Amino acid sequence: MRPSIITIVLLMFLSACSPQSNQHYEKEESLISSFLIDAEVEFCILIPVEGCTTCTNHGLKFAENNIENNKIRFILTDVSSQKNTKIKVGEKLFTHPRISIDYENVFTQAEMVTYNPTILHLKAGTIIQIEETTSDNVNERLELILNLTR
Amino acid sequence: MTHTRLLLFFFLLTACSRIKEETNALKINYNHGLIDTGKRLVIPIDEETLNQTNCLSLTQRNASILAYLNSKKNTIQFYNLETKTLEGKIKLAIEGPNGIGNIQGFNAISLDSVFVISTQYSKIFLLNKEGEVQQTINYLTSISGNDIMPAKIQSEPLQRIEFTNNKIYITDLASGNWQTMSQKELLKTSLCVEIDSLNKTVTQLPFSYPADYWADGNKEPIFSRIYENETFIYSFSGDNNIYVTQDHATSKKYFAGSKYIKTVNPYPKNMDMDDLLRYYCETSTYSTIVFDPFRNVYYRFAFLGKKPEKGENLMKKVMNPSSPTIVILDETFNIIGETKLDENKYIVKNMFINEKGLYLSLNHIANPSMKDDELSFALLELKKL
Repeated sequence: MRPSIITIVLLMFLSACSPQSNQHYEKEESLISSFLIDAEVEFCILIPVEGCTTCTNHGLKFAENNIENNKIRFILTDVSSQKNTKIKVGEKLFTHPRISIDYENVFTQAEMVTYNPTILHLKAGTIIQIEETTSDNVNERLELILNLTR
Repeated sequence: MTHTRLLLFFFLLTACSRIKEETNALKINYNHGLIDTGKRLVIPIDEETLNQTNCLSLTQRNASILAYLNSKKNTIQFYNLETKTLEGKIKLAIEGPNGIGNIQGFNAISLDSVFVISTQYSKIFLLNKEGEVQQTINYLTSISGNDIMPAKIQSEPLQRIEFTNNKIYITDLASGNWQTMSQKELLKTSLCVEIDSLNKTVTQLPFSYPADYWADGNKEPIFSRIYENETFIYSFSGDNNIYVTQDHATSKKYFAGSKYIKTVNPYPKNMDMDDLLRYYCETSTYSTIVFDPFRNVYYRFAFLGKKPEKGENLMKKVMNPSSPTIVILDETFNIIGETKLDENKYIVKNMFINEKGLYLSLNHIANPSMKDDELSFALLELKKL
């Protein structure tokens, strides 16, 4: 039996209303599991290192200023080599224990790397939302995270 | 009926003469090529130096010294090509009495005399080996009262500051949103700024983009500009022709197109970031033009567009173009050859020319032999085929 138009519209309406938090991010959770993220972390920010310098710098600047915030964790993605990463991100971030580096490029392989930082919203270690920032909104979104974790 | 025939006759006549004119202007002989000799120049680099840069050149007074920009350290490093060692470096202060801000590019005369342009100031700084400012040339405002943005010195597309007697020439670029601005606005841009070092005046010269540059739609307005044999040569990224001028008031155009590029496509309409990156990957464009004074030829580089693979990181692909080709022109701008280089091997932006030939960096990120602790160059020689 073919579904009626009303059924389709109803289904579309229901799916549109589903909160983001009900989504399951099993694949993404398995990717971040190896980075040992504490339960108290509310935001995990993926910062691509290669590619557009301006886009990367937004995330790196934010990481540098908020590295001690224990509700935020940073993962450097899309890296080429240890040496390149160290030069591009600087000694402080490269050696900081709250910074993880995706040397295996698992996020790149899973096509989770965009040109700007990606924000994973976490609750008790579970991803409840994934937000890709753009060059237009990256500063605003990062600022919002800062306000939420103060 | 007679009128129609007459019109048709004149139409054919005009069409024929146009074709003839163009054919006459073109002297193309693909009888030269650049051959990778297999000879390699390898220079070890330290832990703080990336294996590619946005600005490098041989110093003018000593062609065996390669000046290399380390922008992360705000430093210019000098490598001796014979000993393959670091000969010296100039650390540039960002602030203070010798502060120049963040370095954008340089023009190295010697280890003790370097002209530097910063990303923040509309000034040219002359520095000594200690990084001390010896002279500052200000070009902030033109005599007609227009603000001049900080100029560029870069390896790709090649742009330098040029010195002739008492004049200094820097480049300018169309400012605004290139996807939405009109051709009329584009053609208002003066592409060359002349600084008179004696009377300290700054003049925007009348030379602009070709009148039909955006006739088929907007495309990248970036260009390479060099000064050789008392002539300025402009190579626009979206134009098969190059433009040659001595006075920036009149210019002559020469066909210098790649046999692999028919036209350079304009930007797609209503694009988002992904569309724009895809466009950059798929569109063939021209880049650096450079003169080889040892063989009296010009090399015009172009990148051939290629459809990205599914899931490929477009940004990385744009930053590391994979398929370069080099159009070879004689000293009167006739095409005498073209060499399509191997894919994913060379970086065009890191090259230099000496008496041995054209050296191209082998540090393309997709080159399996690339090492991040060395600068590695291939020697290409110009050969008659």
